[in-house]
Amino acid sequence: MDAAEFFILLGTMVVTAWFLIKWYRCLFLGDDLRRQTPIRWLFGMLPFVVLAGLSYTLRVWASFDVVDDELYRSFYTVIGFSWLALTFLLMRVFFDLSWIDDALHRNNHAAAIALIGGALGGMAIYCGANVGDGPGWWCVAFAGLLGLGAWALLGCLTGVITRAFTRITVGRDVDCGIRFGGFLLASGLLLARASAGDWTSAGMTVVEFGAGWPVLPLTALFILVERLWARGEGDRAREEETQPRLYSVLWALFQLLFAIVAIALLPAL
Amino acid sequence: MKANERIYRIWAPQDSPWSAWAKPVLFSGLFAGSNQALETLEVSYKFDSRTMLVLDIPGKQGVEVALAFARIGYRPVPLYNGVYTLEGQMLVDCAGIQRALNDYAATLRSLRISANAPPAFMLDADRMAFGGKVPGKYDNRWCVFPQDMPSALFLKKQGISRVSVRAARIQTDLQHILYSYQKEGIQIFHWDNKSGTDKEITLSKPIGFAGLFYRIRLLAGLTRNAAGGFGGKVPEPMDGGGGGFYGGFG
Repeated sequence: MDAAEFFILLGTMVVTAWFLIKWYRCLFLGDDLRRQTPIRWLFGMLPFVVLAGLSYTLRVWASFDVVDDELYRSFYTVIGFSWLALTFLLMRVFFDLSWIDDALHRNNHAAAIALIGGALGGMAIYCGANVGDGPGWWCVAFAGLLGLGAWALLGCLTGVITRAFTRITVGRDVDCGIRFGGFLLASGLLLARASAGDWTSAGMTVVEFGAGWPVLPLTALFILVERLWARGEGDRAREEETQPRLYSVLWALFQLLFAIVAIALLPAL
Repeated sequence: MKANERIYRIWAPQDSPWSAWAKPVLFSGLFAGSNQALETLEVSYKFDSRTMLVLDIPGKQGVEVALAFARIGYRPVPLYNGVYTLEGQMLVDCAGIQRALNDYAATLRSLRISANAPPAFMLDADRMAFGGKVPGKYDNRWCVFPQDMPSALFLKKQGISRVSVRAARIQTDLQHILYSYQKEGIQIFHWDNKSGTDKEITLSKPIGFAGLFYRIRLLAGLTRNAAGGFGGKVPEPMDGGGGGFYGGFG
């Protein structure tokens, strides 16, 4: 481990510690009379799910010099938790979704579902960036940030066009939260595949990032379906009563299936 | 059940659809509870199940007016979001409001308010009365966001088609919310004290309406509290940090 890696480890350890302490402090301490247990436990489990995903990726699919080296696996795991913090920050800034304000303090289930989908999508991209051989941490950072940037941009675009952010945070529309959460996870998986692969150069990484092209039809499809769903806003009250939640769950699952099939059909890494 | 939780449940009963918006912040403090129903004000207002009220009134007077409306059938919903503290001098003195919520709980419990009663949302008109942060003081200024009140769609689902505002003036944060209602076809009225009637108003589009960064921009000037709501000591120039500072991710 060289000096740069040591300082990155130190910096990300501070960010990770700050994030996790704040995370659990907000979830389980304090005297907020309305914090609901399901959201608390769901959010409480998230870092463990992330840890499991990171551990598996780093043991099985990471660079040859990482899979067998415990120190490097720890290094990338710590960076991973800082990545989770970054993902929540991006969702706060670009999606107007706050895990503390919306999910926890306002007990907004729609926001909680969308945030979980987003967190898993963001972490999928980091895991994807760790797949393949490369000479150092900057390969992971470059490919990962490329993926995360594209993900945030597409998420922001779809949210603004479909007014999903308002429907989730103000309307507390759980169905919209399920559909948007599904989109964030599915697009995260596709961009994870785009960020994966052996490192050759920065230019080639950008070229290879084109493998994530199925995210574009997915985004277009999501916008189309969401616009149709929200059509006739004046009558939505009546409409919603006749729309079972099942349709939203099925649509979210379809998006995930689309992502999995698209990844399976792409050339192997 | 703890005393403060019991009192919170009186103000935010589980059978009311509006309780999801009630803020627990001022109930987290010190409560002994009052067992006696107190005298309340009286209002001359005709109950209308299609009308939602917004009471943007300073201090404990807001609680008293809300109780008066509760007597004629409205469900008071406290949206007070500034933390009460004994740590230092508060920028917004919410002690009176907290005491009133406590003292009038028994009165509210004694009223038989229908589960589907229209709401009367309670705001403190002094929530942003003090311009900025003052070093050494406890900054518990707060504002109301569109996320803090029901959507126009939800209001329509509950049969609400009119909103009546009782306020000396309509503050900018509230204007954002009311404009979103107006846009969806809900009529907005402003109570005129002189004539004693509701006058329909047309709000102009506020700057930054429905903007993606509206909430973040507004929050940047306030002090958050980790347990929810707004409140934290503003550090003196020589202090190491502020109590209850809240910032960072998400």
